[in-house]
Amino acid sequence: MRGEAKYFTPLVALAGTPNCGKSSLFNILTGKNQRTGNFPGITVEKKMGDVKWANSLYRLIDLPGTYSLDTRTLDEKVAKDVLFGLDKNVAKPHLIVVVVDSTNLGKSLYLPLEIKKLGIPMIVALNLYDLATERGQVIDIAKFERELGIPVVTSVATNKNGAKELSLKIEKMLESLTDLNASVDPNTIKVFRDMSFINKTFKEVDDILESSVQSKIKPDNITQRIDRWALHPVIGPTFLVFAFLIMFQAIFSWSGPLMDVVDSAVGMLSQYASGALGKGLLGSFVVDGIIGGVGNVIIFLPQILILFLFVLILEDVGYMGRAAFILDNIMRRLGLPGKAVVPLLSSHACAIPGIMAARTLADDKDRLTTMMIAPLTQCSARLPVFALLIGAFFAADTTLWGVLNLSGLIMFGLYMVGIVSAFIMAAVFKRTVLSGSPSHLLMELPPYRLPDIKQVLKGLWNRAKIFIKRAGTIILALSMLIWVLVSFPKDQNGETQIGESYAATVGKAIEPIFRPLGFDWRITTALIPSFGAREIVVSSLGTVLSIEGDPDSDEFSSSLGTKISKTFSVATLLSLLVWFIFAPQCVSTFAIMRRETGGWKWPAVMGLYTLALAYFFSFITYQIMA
Amino acid sequence: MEKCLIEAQIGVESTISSVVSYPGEEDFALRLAHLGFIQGQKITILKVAPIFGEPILISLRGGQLALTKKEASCIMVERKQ
Repeated sequence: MRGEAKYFTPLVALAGTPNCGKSSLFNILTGKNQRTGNFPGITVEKKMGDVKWANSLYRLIDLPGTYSLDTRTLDEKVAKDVLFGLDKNVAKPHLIVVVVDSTNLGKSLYLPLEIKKLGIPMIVALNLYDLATERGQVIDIAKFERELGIPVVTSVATNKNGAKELSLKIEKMLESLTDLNASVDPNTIKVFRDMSFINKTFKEVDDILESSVQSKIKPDNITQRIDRWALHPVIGPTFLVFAFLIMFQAIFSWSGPLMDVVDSAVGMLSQYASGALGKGLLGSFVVDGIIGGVGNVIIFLPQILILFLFVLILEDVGYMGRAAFILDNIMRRLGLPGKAVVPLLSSHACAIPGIMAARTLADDKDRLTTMMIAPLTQCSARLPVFALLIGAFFAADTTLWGVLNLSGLIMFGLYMVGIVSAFIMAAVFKRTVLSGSPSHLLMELPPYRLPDIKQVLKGLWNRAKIFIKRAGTIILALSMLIWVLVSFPKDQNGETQIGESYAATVGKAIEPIFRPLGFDWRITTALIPSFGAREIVVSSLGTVLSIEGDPDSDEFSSSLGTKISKTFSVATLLSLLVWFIFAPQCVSTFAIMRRETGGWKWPAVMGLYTLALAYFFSFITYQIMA
Repeated sequence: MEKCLIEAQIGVESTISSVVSYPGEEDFALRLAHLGFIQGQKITILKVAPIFGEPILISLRGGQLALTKKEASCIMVERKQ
């Protein structure tokens, strides 16, 4: 095979039960950064990456976890299709690495014995082997391998050395491959539905473990002890709400110093640019358009990172499943299984992974409903908008009863409004167009573990990169566009009459529609590009108000929040706040909805109902306040 | 003699005697089987949420799983003499 390497890249599939560490192994072997965490169903798509290790080059494909190849959900089907060679976009894998959780062999050895039936060369990787050893498990590997009838490697997904043995084994196996075109009999699937096969296979698992495990793993008492509190009928839900409350407190109270640093850096850059370029057109373009537009968004990076810090830790510890357990009751009365909580919680970062995570739901109507309500949970792109608007009312350090940060409390309230609206809409959908009883819960609760600091930091770094990239691309482009629209046409004296600009013309054209909500053209102008990225409202207001402001007055140097509170009425700002709880969804959300539902019907329904909700509630808010 | 899993005592291990496959829910019974809910398997209820009596947390083959009442009602366990 080595000689052929130039022309041919062998394909190696990573399969395994959910949450056994496939993606962690994938990340180590390929150097990629797939999302990992401690709950089943994080990976819902196939992900490819090339591995160049020593002499070998092979392509690794990370698959969603499944308990059996007789699959029930869309994410599991992805794994089945690839392994059976039914996936149109991927060749049949030449080698399958079945990743197994060493801390729970009784549960995870069924799948490799099923996959063995496919007749494709395979390796079993005993993942988390170090952890199992620490907990007292001793396995006679040689005997285990013999009884299993599959080559076995021990591996540790969290460090490079732990994956080395696996990669060497993969390399060796690939070299010895002879039949590269062996195909899988599609009828094999029938065997997996045969009760006698299932019974026999579990018996086999028990026999293998009986004879090769010399010392059993100590039971995980810590998880059961924590769950006594985490799943307690009173303490559990209280903790869940408290965790959210603390998160939003932290977003406001911890971010101050960091935001000051970013703020002064942006301010300095702005001053330097305006000094170097003067007050002419170029100076205004750079200072108001670029620095004003992008800088006003970048400043929220610390807050977004704090939000993600909390989410990543909760995911890594294993809390997501517990949240689903606690909320299953309420959710079920509304018409969704508790499992739907996981995609909904993910949507607080971004609706796109949230919508995709709905694939883990077995029932189509549950899945559609979950996707439809996902955008009502508040994604991180809305954080800058909320933070700015809240900041226009209160100083960031205002506290309630001396303990609670008021802005944090309001933010918490906004997110709760989002969650409650999502629940209400779920009930509406499940009782009308998508009626049906909620599907199964049947969900695994993974053991708790300490968060892996390195993984969490890596996750944060990824988010920071995504955010900065967004600021440097779409937000930069839209900011420049808005600057142009706001700065032109010039009048006879070459001055910008902002009220006569192109932006004002466009904004004023649609202003009548939004006047009942209290939005003037300065806001409506920003609403159109906010379909591309929601943060653009922040940068757009920044650009407009900075061009409009008199550069010589004190106001010029004051913060955007202060400027906004001086320009707009309280009623208008509250109305805008409400608008952004409900709408509009960004273009990417529509695109992913189309892909996941296979048409434009559901994205259209989603767009219309969120728009209607936004308009209605903003209208009420403005009319009451004004 | 058998009884439904939900009648079993919390924290006491019992043995699965059969998994009922309701008409139209055959796929679900298979799913349970693939997770190890098969005859002869030891199972323990760890926790039952109050008020609605669900979800139910069980321990099976070294893992923890959450089930609803309806799901648990498919699982029959041996009644101890």
